[in-house]
Amino acid sequence: MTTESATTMATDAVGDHAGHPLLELSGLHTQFATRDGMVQAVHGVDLTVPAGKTVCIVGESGCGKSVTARSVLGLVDHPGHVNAGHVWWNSPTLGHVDLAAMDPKGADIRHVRAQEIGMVFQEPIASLSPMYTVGAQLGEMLRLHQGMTKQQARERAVELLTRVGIPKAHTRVDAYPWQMSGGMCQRVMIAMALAGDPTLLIADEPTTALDVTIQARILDLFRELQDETGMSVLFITHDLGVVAEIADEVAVMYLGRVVEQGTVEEIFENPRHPYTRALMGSIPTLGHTRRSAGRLSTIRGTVPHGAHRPTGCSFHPRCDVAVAGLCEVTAPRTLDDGASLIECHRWDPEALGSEVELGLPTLRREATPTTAERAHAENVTSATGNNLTESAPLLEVREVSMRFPVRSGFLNRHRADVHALDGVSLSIRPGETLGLVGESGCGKTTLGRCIVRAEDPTEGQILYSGSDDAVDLAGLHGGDLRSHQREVRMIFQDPFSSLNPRMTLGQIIGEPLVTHRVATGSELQDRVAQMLRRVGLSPDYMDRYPHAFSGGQRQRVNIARALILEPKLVVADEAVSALDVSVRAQILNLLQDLQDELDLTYLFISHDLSVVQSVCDRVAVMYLGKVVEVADTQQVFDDPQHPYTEALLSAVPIADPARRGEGRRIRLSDDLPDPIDRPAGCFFHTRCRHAVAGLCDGAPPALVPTADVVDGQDDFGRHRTACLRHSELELTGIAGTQEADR
Amino acid sequence: MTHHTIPEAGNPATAAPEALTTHEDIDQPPVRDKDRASQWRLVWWRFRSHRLAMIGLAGLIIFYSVALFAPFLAPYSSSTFDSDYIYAPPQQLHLVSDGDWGLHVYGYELEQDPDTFALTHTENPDDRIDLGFFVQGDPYTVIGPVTWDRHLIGPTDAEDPVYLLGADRLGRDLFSMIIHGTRISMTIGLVGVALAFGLGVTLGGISGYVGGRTDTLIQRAVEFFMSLPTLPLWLGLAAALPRDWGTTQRYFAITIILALVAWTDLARVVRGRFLSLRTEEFVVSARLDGARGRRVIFRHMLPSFSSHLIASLTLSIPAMILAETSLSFLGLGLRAPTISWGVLLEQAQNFRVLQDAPWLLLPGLAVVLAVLSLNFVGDGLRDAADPYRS
Repeated sequence: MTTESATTMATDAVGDHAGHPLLELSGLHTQFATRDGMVQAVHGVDLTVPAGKTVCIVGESGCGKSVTARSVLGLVDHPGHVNAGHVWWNSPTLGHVDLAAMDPKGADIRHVRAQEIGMVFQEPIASLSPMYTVGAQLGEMLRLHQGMTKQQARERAVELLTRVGIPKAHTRVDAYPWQMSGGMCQRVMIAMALAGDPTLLIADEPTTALDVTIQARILDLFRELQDETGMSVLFITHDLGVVAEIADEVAVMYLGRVVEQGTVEEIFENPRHPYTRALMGSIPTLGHTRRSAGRLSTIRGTVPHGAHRPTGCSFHPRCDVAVAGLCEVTAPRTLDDGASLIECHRWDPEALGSEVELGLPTLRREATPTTAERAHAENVTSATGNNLTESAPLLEVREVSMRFPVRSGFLNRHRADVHALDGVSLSIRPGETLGLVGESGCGKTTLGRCIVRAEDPTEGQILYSGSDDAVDLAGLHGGDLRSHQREVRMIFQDPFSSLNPRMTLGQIIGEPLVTHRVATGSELQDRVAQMLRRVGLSPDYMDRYPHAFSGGQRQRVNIARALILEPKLVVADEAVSALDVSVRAQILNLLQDLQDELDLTYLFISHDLSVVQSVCDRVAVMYLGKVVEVADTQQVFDDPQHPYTEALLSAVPIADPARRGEGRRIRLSDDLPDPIDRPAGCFFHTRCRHAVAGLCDGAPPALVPTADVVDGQDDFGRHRTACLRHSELELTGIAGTQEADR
Repeated sequence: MTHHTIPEAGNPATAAPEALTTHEDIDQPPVRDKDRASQWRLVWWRFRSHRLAMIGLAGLIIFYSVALFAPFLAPYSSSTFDSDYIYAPPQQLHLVSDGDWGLHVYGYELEQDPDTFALTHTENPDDRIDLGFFVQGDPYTVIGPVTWDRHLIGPTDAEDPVYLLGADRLGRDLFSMIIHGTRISMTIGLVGVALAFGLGVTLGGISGYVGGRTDTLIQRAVEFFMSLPTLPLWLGLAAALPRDWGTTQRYFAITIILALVAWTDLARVVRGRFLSLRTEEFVVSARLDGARGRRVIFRHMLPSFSSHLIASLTLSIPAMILAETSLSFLGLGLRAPTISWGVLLEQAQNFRVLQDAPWLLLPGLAVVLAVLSLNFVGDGLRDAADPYRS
């Protein structure tokens, strides 16, 4: 089947049953039988997906987004099941059918899954079998569902792989999933979903596990495919930036219900539901630096567990504008004016008494700062910068390298090295926050772990100047190391695996005090209690175990554990990456407050550029084990001097649908070079659009100061970049895209 | 404990930094027992909901109580026999006869086949033998010099024959024999299991935690021990041990030597757990907290799989019971006069004997029940072992 015929088929399908939308969920209920009782994960969802449109479902985790998507195809895992409602599917072959009423193992639903609705999941590598080539896995599906011969299936597989943008598809078809990167695997998954020429593609967080550069390319692919085939997309995500990039319509879900639905422009320009507004407010947006934006707004608390659904409006305990005596008593009705939908008493003239004004004031979306504001902010930054320069660096990383040997063969011979870090030099001044960004695999986490000495660097020095003279942390052992580890602490990424589930919070937070013999008995208890209060938890929690707490609360415990020894330097390794947006904002605010209170210095490792911009004073960009650019945050974001930084910045989805499709995109290829066998010269030249043959693949560039000097900046704070062509290139940062915007 | 109510901090976005000392997380769920329950409590709660495991646990408690109180529970001592009642069939218990209440059985009427001299026993309803509780019978030692002669159940007149489960080829009461056999059968493997367990955990732990050359060395040793064929080894050992040792002593020695071979599986499991735990974030963070080697192992790593270890320990006891039974059955393990289920089963080797006295297989039933109980408990423990993974 060719692409053309697929398009016709899709248009036909739309024409056939014009009276109905392509997909219509009405009153969908899905429940799970758990130890805590019946949990209604989807609690009466009404949603329509029109033909040819992209509908995004957005919300925090635990809101029932994925379950809704899975309910459509009857893929809800045991012990869950759809217990009420309809999934009306306008099938090109079966007519107008209710998927929820079909036998989940029957032939009809299997036909729909194979030919009419494709599905793409979050973890591309986990969804493919490592034992078969991608061609075999694609081909099996084609042979099974479309009755193709082996040869036909192979040809079609190559065709599909080409269509999803896999270069050299005729050779890649014989590759195993583990030989491909995450982005490539996700393309293969999309190819599989497209195999039956579906009229609807359901994508469940398809880019969440991917780097931002890869995410941008996958989102492009979705758009291209949609333009080509006219299929509809039901896209599930927690990332409002992604929504702004891709959606036509948006449905905001909270605790198993759609609380607001409308076109993407409406939702972003005039969000009406307090939850939507709060979500919008809690994402750090590019263009707002730490000094200009201040604290992020947050949503109180966390999404409650489905078994403890609040009475009345389920959002009322976290809502700032809840009406007492109304919101906690009755559930709001659905106000549907045909185009948009909202469930909130504040917009319901019938429910609302006369004393409360109808509606909510228009949300003042923070305008992108004007040039004058920016200049002011820069002055502030440089002023603080001046303060900082007075002191010598707290930590100086000098030429640190980290190699992991690759051994193989009979005698375990040393074959090659994985170069995780390659001559990294950095300094951090006391009181500042240095951001460390880069794609996964660039060595940023390894650097953080070397600094706290969870890993031993292969070579180089890590000079730490705490209270006394500079000490090389890399050379310390035993007791000396331990005493310095009191001052350099780490906050881990995963709030679940980093807390021992078998110890109470008191034991976990108190452990450093015990091992360093700082405090015992009641003094220990007091200090732990004090620390708990500091991070916003109740001291009563001391005798509880981590399993009683949510991700955000656990991350507070992690912070408490890191801070109880009164450290000077804290390495926060993706400390907020595993958290939902609202909780993330709470934790970021907490980290900033603690920094001010306790004079902390942070090394903030993150892949999320907007978070980095909102919390960091300076930023270092890493690529393949090397620092390629380092400068003040403002400079890096406004005036990047390395093509890689430029590409990273342009890949960040911007939560503003009006700025979609500006053609500002710089796309990097999906494949990172192998850290075992790295390219010659500049490591980035294989993906760089500015690379010049004969120059960039020659001598590796050093990290050198750029020509531009900001007033009052000493040598330390100079903008540095590792690009041979930086002086001749005109690179665009965030400011540039905004200028272009106007 | 009352639930701590927390002053509302207001919208944290607008709250000044001083508001930090108040608590931002206002919608705390009420305190549940679960939140304060330790690992073992959680394991027990899970185990409790596993019905088969609870049945197994009850069975296990019964078996070990029988082992503990064997001489008191058994109607006769292990050395009591009566050649008149060789292969006597089981008697039926009666509660009422001729309007007379009381637990009793009927005595046997003996007939001898004039040609084969084989004895046949038929119950004689006129010969009523009253059973009583806490009756006087064969004396036995309780602890040290303390002896007693009361039995839980038995004939009111100690001279009367009572064979509730029939008699064996020496005319011993099979019921008493099974009870006495419980002692040896349920306990002889324990020392071996404990030894194998200790070796496995220690060597596996060292192998996984230290790594490198030590790990390679221990793993090669594991492979060597795994390649040893156990049955010929057992045979050889049975022949090689000094003749003047008692049978129990000899068997005990064999189990210990076998334990030296049997630690390998566990060592591999423990090594794997250590290897995976070593890179686990909470272990890394414990090291960064300043915990030294021993503290990391015993406080942070070991508790996270101790319940798995207990489960595997429970599951290895049945193997030892079965080994004892099968070896004794083959005549290689324990031998008379020691009494164990395996030794008792040895009598059931002959098919013709089995035809006449099928009740001789009853010790086998005891083996099955004991092994099943242990397996159920082990399975339940294994399912409950990690309460943090749903």
